[in-house]
Amino acid sequence: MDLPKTWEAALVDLKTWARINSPWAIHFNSGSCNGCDIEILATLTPRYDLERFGIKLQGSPRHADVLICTGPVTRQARERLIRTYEQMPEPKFVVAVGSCGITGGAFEGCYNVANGVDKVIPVDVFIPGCPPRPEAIIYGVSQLLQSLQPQRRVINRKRIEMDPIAKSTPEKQVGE
Amino acid sequence: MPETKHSDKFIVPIGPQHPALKEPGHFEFTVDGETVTGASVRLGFVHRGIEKATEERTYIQDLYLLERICGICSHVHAMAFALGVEKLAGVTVPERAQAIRVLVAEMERIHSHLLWLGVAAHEAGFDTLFMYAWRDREKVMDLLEQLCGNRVNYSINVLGGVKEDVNDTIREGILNAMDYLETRTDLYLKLVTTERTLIGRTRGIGIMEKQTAARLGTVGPTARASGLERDIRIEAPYAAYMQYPARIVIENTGDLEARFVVRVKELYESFRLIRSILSTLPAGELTTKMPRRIPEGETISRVEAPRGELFYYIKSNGSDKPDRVKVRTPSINNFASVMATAVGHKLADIPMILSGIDPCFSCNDRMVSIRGAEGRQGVDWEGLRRYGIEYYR
Amino acid sequence: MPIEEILKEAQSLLAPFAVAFTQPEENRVDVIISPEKLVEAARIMEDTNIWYLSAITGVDHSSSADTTNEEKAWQRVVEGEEQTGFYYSGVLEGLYHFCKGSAVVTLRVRMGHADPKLPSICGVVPSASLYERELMEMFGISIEDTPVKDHLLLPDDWPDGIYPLRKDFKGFGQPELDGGANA
Repeated sequence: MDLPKTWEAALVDLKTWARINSPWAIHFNSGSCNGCDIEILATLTPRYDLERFGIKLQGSPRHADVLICTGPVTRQARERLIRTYEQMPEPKFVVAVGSCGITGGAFEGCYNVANGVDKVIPVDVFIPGCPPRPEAIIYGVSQLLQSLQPQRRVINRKRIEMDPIAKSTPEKQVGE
Repeated sequence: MPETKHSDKFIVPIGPQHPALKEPGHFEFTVDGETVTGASVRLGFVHRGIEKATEERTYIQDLYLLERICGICSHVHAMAFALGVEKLAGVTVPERAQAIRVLVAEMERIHSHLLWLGVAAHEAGFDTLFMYAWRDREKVMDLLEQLCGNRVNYSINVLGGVKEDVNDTIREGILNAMDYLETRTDLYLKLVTTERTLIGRTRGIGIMEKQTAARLGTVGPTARASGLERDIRIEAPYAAYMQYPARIVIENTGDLEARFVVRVKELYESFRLIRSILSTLPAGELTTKMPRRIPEGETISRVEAPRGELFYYIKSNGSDKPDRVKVRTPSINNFASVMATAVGHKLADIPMILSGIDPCFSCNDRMVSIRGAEGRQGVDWEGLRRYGIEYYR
Repeated sequence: MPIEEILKEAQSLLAPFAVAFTQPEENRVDVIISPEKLVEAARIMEDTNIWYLSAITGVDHSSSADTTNEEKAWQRVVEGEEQTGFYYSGVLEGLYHFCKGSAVVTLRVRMGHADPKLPSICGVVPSASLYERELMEMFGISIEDTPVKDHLLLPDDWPDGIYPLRKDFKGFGQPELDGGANA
């Protein structure tokens, strides 16, 4: 890490480093068929083992950095989803897993369904698939983490200022 | 944790986030001190309006929609629907296709029971078994992917037959995996019957008599653990179960341990069926021609999902869209048994009793709430689960 | 016991209550019943201790219903001593499925559009409570004496008087799916 100019910037850098290296995730099912959920759980099992990358799946929104959301949001789950999102501390990121989370999937147009997570809360990463394989889920989450690195601009969110020294060396940016 | 000092009864709402079960549901338990005095359920978080949606889509589109009612038992939903529509259309599906359907159904039963074993062990605090079971389950997922093309939502059914065929590589792979899984299942059976931590949480808990089980309409392994002989594969054979009959697995004690043992023993039965199918797979076509418009009529299609009896009622009106599709999934029957057996037990037993029926919320979407006197305390599922583990330490 | 005998046995048990019997498939018998006799018929089936209630289905027959005779929805037509036919009309229908092995006996009750009402069978079959809740919220059939009346599947903020599974409900302004009708 380059030396930052102020102590506030140093704190931000430290927090970001901690978040990239060990994000805490919370999983929320807003009405999915459980296909995506069991693939998410499968990433914790010995074969894929997400925890060796430092990602921890735990139960409380107040300690979480990343919200992993599945399902086409049903009317009943909508309030809980918004509440869970609001309870998370900033900066927070949302990953929508599965085609239900993107457009409602097979249930698009049903009367009880909001047709996608991004109709309810802002989403950073979409992972398509019905359900996406655990490898795809790991790839999606790692894309999110890569976008947190200080030299790259974060998709859809303005997070960390570009360090002025690094600006002189052209770095590959994450496109909008 | 519920305060037991100054109020008599508490309502403990749990949900709708279940970090362990990963399924949303809302339970309310009334507790008097430590003991549960009432229970009720309220679902609704996974209600997607599927029965209405089936009326606006053609039969073929409905097949893919109904598979996604539940990711764990998607094949049996599609199979029940396909069997019903084929009956209405009056077509005969070739024998090879029916045998492949049963093959995939039994593999789905294996994957579902191993999934449940892991989740139930996690509830008891036995995370090692959770990891073992899910690692072994990956073998079955690989085979299903090799055969059907997807790990979950393997849509191998079409109206009129199946899409994919079993060739020699796949057959060898499945047989090898069955041998491996059988040795692993020996270990699991030993664990659920002799491992002290598990038995402490399951033996003698959640007892349901045979009469009560019958009166409450319980189905599936939950019923068979209480000595009730209900298994659609045996009572009302469908697809290829007439050529490859299943044998019933019964336990009589009716407690949680019996529910564990029944599911583990059913794994053996599934291994046997799969080997038998693969050794005598009939030759023939994979599909038969299906009309686009299904003649008018009504039919009832019942199959044995891993959780119990799955009931489909299909009404057709002569067009290419169904008039009414009714899906009654097994977990709804078993929820009544939870509400009955939970009463009188300690709060610490509730997570185990609930996972003992292998609840599938996405199949059912029901809510349980328990009525109580005054006082209402919010406890999340993770907290209750830890409370249960600590209580029994 | 072969399935014909099982079904005949059920028919003889239910004969005093039924308006008519039909056999749509070889393993099924449908029993047309009036709402007043529903609880008694359910009790007879439940007391055998072998038949069990497997599901309760609600159907909206709007496309094929005969609404001219709704007041006589389930009556016998009797000439002298013989029953020569029966009326069976009405838009909404409740089907109570009882199963034994592969045999399914369905009690069918039809109701008119205006004020659909059914008695609750929860006193006889306790597990029916969840099914009756679903019937009430999806079709608007009023079951007065059922023990729990909360919504089972629909969310709490669902507007009153709108019953999703009735045919006249088309969704809240969502475009109807063109399900291959033009293919």
